[in-house]
Amino acid sequence: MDRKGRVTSHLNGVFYRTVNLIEEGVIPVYVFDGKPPELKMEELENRRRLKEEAERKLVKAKELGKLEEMRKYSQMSSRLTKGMAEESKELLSRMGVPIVNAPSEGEAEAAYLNYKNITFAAASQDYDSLLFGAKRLIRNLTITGKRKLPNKDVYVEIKPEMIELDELLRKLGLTREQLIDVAILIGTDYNPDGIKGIGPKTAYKLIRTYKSIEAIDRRELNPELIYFDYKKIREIFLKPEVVEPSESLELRDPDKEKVTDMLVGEYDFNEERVKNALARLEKAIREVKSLGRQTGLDQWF
Amino acid sequence: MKFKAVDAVSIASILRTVGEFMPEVTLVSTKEGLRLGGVDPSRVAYVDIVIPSLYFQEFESGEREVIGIKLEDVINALKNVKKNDGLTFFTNEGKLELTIEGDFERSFIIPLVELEEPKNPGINLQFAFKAKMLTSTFNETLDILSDMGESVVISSEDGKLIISVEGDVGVSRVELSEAAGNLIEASGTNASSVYGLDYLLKTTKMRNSSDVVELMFGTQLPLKLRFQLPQEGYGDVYIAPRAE
Repeated sequence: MDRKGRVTSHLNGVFYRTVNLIEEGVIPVYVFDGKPPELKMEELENRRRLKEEAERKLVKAKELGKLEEMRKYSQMSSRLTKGMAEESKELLSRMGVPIVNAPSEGEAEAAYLNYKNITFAAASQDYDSLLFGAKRLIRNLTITGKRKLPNKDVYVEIKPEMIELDELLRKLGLTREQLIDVAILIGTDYNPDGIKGIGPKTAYKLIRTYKSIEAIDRRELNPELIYFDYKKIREIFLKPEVVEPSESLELRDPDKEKVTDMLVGEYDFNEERVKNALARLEKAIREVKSLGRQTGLDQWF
Repeated sequence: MKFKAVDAVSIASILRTVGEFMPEVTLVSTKEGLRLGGVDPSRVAYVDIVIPSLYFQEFESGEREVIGIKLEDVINALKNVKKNDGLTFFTNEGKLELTIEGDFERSFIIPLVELEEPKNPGINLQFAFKAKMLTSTFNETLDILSDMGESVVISSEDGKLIISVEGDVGVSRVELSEAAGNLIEASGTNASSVYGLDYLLKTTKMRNSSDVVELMFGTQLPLKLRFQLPQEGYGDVYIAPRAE
């Protein structure tokens, strides 16, 4: 937090992690959410309620001095506000890092950029990117180390992973449309409860057998259990609202003065640390630009 | 599949090199010998290693056996092998039994993994320039350049091979030629291409398995390194160029 009590952790994360990424030769394009589809409102309302409850529990845990619960509810109650998103965009712009404002779902826009070969991969924790048509999804790009399993005293190692849609579909023996139908049966952001009694194994078996939701035998799935408009949900995934990027997605040189004004002048970041990180950023951008892009071998196979 | 090699270090180096590019690999074993490799996850490099049956002191295989191994497990088992240690690989009921005979005998049993047999991508390129040199020469060149920058420019000029790196401290350059005695053979036209130095450095462990390497490249073409192995075996490494 800064002197004025404003949360600054989002700026801290965006700034230092972006520098780290570019130093590793990754050219990030940040995609921000736009207006969510109507069908997502129920899920968003659920999330909002859960966060409010977590906030109440956090207050109680603080009063009782329960550290473990404080850690758990602090994580659950963290929110990304519109203001934080705008501040992050401003910072990225000053750093010379490209951003794209999605008209609707950010995952869909990121998937579109990848589908059009503008990017190498979509980077997200959310598998929906694949349903939206991303050719490659990278998970755990900036999360490493060990992660605690919820409500257990067990830690698992987190490593970056890449999922290729073509290979995934081939292994599952499904088309992308069929994979979307599997997801709909299990539950998506647009029908969070899925269908009672249908989990991943059953959903997969049904679609492998019948190829689509509408073709499923009534004896295996009572149509009355489908309380949502699955065709509309399917359309959201197959034809999402996306845009062509309006600006160049090339890395620009950072405006060091403006970044310093913002982080140090406005938000009380440590000047020395920011200065050092900016030097690293400048060097990393220079190297990434001068190296040219690493091509792949696919064009020669 | 069963084989016994008299030079454990050589086999270990081949596996360590493959392990630099990918975490798991499929070995295909036929009566002719072993083939292993694949495309690395970033699809920048392709490794294809062929070890004929005559390379081994003993070699037994069915018509065609496909074996998946997790390289970290095998490399860890081989980490202390010495030059004259004997090495036996034996696959049996979903497991790999690895025996090292040296100062003392030690055995490891490693589970095999289920992997798909990779399709050989079939790269057929006309390279502008080819040069053959001792693997030690190639490695010494990379050692000189290793801390100088991130990209290496490989170019040919009037029969000479020039390998250079541009970094913060300036340009570092190594020139090799038949006339200077550091190339065994060289032929082709002038060309130039840029490659990621880190990919080239992943091949340096092959010095313990191969004495001679052939380097082939062209402008904006992949680099091909063919590490010659005994009994007409080879280890090919293709590396995609960086776009200018």
